Amino acid sequence: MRSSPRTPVTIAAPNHHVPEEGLLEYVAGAATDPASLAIACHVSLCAACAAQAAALEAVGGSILETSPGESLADGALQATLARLDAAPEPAAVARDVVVEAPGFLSAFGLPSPLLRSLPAQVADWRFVVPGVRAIDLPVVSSGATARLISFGGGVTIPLHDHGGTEYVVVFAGALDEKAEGKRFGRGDISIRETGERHEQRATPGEPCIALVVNEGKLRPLTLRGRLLLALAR
Amino acid sequence: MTAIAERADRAAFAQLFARYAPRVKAHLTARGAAAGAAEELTQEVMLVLWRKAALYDANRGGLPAWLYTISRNCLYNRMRGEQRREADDPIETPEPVGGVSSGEEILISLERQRALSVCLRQLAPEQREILEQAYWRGQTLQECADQRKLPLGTVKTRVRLALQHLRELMKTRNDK
Repeated sequence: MRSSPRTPVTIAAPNHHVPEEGLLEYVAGAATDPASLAIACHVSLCAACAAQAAALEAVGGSILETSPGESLADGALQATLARLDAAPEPAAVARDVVVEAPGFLSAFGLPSPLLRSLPAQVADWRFVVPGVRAIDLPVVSSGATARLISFGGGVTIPLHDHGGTEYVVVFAGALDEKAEGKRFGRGDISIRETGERHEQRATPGEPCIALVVNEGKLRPLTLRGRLLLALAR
Repeated sequence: MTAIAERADRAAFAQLFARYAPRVKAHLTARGAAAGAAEELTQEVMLVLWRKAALYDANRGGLPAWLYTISRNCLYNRMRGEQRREADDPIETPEPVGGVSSGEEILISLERQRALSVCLRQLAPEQREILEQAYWRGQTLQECADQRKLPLGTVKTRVRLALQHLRELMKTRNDK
């Protein structure tokens, strides 16, 4: 599947970021897998958050450094050295494993965390409702879902609430938050907690490709929420 | 690290092992690994360090930060049944970083790391403890809040203040 020419992933200059404490949970490995995927996608498109995450990693390193440690069993070094013999020499390891986007997704500049999360052999979108197509991402976590969604230009996602935190990361096109007049473009992340109702609309004229992660079920608040129910299947 | 990356130097590896393997083990134990698993995973973490030494970039936050991330990932991969993610999957960076770090870069990064450790000790206990709980045990801020019977907002504020304070301490140090 990953044989198409690689589209360079352009770095956006996102306006909507992950709050510092969210980055901390991500770096500390406390975030759920789907949330980590959303944050990783944002971080790989946002130089500012990447720098912040690296700084937070350094704090983790300091905590490791200041730990008194726990002594190992006798012979642990020898055992590890013996395993080294079976391991390839350091220089033999490839530097970067580049994951290519499948052809039908190659135009959207998807970041590598997303590409690595695509199901194997994915060849096309799944039809959801007119104007909305999706790819379900096999990210393991109880009750949560992660999907790459294509919203047709101008498609409205009716007013809804969430049973858990919702993460949206936009890769192409844009989503408008109707009530707040905010626009989410490439690299932007939107994080919504339970109780934060909202209505979104894909900017007319071009499709919006976004990762949508829900840590709990969506609760449509209008009759038009049919679309969401289909999404939340 | 340069010695390992360029010359596959086992003496250098043994030195790093002596210094960091016990800390890695303590980290794994704090995250709930049983004694046997922690022992075995520590070896695995150190093997990742050996195999991927060429990928190490001192500018990214230093060796302890890298080991912190590798040990966290190794444990989670084990818990998930070792699927999908590469054991040393780093935090995503926009630009892939290139080249083995020079000795000088490593020294600078070690110094920065040392300074950070000093500053960490200067934090108020309540701030330091909450960072340790999140970083060391991998608890969510919600879990930290529940355990301390504090509102989530208070914990978030405390974390933000702790990190801000840490930045200020580092800045004062650098300005000196």
